[in-house]
Amino acid sequence: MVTIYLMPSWLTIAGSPQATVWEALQAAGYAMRMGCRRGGCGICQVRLRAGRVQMGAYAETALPEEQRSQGWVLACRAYPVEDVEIEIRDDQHLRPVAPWWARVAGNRPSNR
Amino acid sequence: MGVIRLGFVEVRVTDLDAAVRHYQGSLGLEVTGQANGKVFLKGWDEWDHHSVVLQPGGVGLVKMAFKVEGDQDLEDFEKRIAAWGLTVSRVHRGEDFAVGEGISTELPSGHVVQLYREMETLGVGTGTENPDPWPEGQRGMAVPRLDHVLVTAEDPHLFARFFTEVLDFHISERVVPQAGSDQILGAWLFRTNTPHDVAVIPGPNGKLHHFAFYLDNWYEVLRAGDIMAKTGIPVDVGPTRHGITRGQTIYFFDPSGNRNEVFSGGYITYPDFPCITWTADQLGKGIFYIQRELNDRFTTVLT
Repeated sequence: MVTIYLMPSWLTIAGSPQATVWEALQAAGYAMRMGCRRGGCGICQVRLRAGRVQMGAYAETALPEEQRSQGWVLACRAYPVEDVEIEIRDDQHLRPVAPWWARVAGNRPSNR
Repeated sequence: MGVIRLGFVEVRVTDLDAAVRHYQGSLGLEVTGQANGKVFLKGWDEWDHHSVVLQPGGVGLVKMAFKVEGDQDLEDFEKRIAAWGLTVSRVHRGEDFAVGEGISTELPSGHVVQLYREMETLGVGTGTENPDPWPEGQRGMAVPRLDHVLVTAEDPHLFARFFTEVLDFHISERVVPQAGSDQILGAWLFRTNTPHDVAVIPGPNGKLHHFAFYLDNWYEVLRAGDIMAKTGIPVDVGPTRHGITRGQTIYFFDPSGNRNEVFSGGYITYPDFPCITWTADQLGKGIFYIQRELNDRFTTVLT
């Protein structure tokens, strides 16, 4: 298990190298603005501030090499291999959709 | 004479194997050939060799190809496209697998349009003599055929002008800024008897919004949604109804992120169909009739 810190709120959720950042958010009862969810459109670009992720297959047009080298990743394709800090923009609307449900299921998002 | 239908779309996919599993296994198309690294597929009710071509590498639309009725059409359209100010090139037999002579042009919007007269014929799944209504061995959504393609253009009005002025398409529905305006923000264009074979909405040049497959009825659209849930296909919107075209729909994404649609219903069109106009303030209802609002993906998620 790894920990995902979401900037700028410092919302902290549990992650895993087998689940994408977006899947971890869902499991924690959160949602954010997503597009195709298949690495094709680039809508879910987020900034990796610290830590490493493994990227699944994606289109170059969705995440050009230049942006990747500057730390941008796709939430739908990024598998955190260690604790990571991820910055989500305001217009990506990170929001709780089922925090109570997720807590029952054993995921405990908490604000640090 | 003239254009008889949208013949095939050629799309890029990041993972060819995953794409084949999606289009063959989940949508139920049949793989009819592989050549030059590309995979060719058709629906069970299509007789020509292919309606979808998958090309490995990237995402988005390589080209949309329309079938014309006669050899003379290619010569006529070659002249008309050139007279409209675009560059036309010849596509020779065999350049495209199983496709005969054709012509190709790049629109001001950056989309490549190809016209061809002949394609190798394989026949429909039910045969043409005393046929049953559907063939054995259907998979997944079992889509019978490709229906239409929708793209984005910075100048949708110009895009619609090319299709109406050069290729003799008709406009079934259009979106204008306000009542009384003739400025086209979006257009649904047809040559067949369906509400649209190609459509355009405002957005970046060269991009694909979606391509759609036909289904017989509302229940099949719902069942297609069940298959999306069972097989983990990301859904964009639906099942719902479009105000524009009256069609029933689900938008979803292929494994590379290209948007697909299953589409049923819609009215019949003829060359004298009276064009329907939507004002931009009613666009939410026009696109998603029941919800009456656009979601934040509709105009921004493109490949």
